Amino acid sequence: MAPTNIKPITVYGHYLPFPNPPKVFILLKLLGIPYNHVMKVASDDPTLEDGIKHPNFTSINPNGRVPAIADPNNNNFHVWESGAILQYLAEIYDTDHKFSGKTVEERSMINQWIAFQISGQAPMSGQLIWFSVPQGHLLKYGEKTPDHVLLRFRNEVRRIYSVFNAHLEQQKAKGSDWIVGDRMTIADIAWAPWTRTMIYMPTYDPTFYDEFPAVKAWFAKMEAIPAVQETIAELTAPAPKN
Amino acid sequence: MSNTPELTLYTGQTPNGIKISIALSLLSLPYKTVPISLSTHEQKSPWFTSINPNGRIPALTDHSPPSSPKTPLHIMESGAILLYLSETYDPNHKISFPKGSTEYWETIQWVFWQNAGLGPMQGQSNHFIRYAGEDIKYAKERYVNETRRLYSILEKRLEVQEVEGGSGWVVGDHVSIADITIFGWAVFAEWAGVDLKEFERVRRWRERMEGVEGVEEGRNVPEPSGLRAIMGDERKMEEFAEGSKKWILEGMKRDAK
Ligand SMILES: N[C@@H](CCC(=O)N[C@@H](CS)C(=O)NCC(=O)O)C(=O)O
Ligand SMILES: N[C@@H](CCC(=O)N[C@@H](CS)C(=O)NCC(=O)O)C(=O)O
Repeated sequence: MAPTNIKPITVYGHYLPFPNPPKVFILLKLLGIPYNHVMKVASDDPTLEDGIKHPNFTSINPNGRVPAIADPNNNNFHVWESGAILQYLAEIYDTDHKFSGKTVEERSMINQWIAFQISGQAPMSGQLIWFSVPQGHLLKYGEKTPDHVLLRFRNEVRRIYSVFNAHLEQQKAKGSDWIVGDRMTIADIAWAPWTRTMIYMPTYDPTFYDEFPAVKAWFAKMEAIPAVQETIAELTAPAPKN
Repeated sequence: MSNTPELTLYTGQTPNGIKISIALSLLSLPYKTVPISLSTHEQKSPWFTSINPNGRIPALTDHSPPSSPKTPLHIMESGAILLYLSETYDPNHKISFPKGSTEYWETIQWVFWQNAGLGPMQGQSNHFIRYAGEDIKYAKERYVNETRRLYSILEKRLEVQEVEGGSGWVVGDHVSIADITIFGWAVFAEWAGVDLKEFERVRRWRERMEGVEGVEEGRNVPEPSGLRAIMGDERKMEEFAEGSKKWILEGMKRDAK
């Protein structure tokens, strides 16, 4: 497990439904690493002190996005891009390789699923959600999203889940419930939050995952993990007072 | 490395494909090239999806990976392949940095920034500008602007590198997989409607990359780019797009089933 005397890691994050910060919280909790959560404001305004485009934050993450971390145990080292943060935390604090690869082969299998998550599941689901919410396309142009756009992203997201589903089925046939090998790794942690994010779609169809039973079964397992439940509770924004 | 590695690269003349052949050239590694015919959807054929379940190029097979030399290792996703090649076949850190160093982590961040940001967004720009077959103004604007935003981030990064570090590269003091992965896309920037004249440091960095030994060889795999000679000539570019448009729209139809 994690070494003792670790100073709390600063995590720059956001409430749900932001799907990338939870990856970091889940791993920190699993590794028992203390952290401070600095809540950022998602705004394009570079003069906003707490905003993600303010120079005080772009000096940490030049891309102006959450999550990012600062590690006081390593000269306040900054890491951004959720996939890179998972690797960094695993490499430094998961010395027993509980959630990370033990050999270069295993690491590359974990990496390829993380890379597919960050380049496929995340951006394509993000586009689908953007074009499905009223404040996305509709508000700006006051018109209906063209079918071509909606179909493109809906079908691409479905294609990605069908690839993921087929892989999980193959794993199952080998007796594993997880993405790589026979244990939960940072690849599973990377895929889980975006899988849950689909429920935030205003046009969410509760039967969406019926087509992907292995994804459903895998996600149920992920959601039952206490670190995941705690992360959801911690990152759920307090209900607005009226 | 005691034995000569036995590598097979499945690739095409595309942004994600050329990254890997460039990295292999810079590392002077021998490999076998298997061109995948995207226009006939070979990437979705069972023989290939057994290597890359995602049905995309690039993919790499290491027929004799280091700790399990008898079990061929198939890797998908260009970012994962680049990290694998660095960890396994770059002991002298020609295109990488020692594990655990600041530069090592910076490299991973910029590789993932390309994988998660620049690639998907520039890819959508391509789609709506060149292939969609419909004039959807909002989508064009959205993706061209997001791609420009991403190049402006790179522009700032290069400024920090040049001014504070005296370096012309994305990370540290030499060329690395961070440069290579971004270069794969930057050579096609104009195709996506982004004029690199807007990003002077990026433009000069792209030229610098072109001069690195091995880059020219690597980018011409599996064959030289047909786009290169006509970049900037809108009429010829339109003609060129027709070729790709056909299989891309067919691919979308297949996925709709
Ligand atoms: N995130 C992937 C993207 C790969 C990708 O987009 N490959 C394209 C060529 S550049 C492809 O094979 N497309 C074929 C298809 O979509 O059918 C990577 O970095 O490897
Ligand atoms: N199925 C693809 C075909 C075109 C394609 O694969 N494009 C590649 C570039 S060659 C892409 O956009 N890749 C996105 C990435 O690398 O993230 C689509 O409809 O976009």
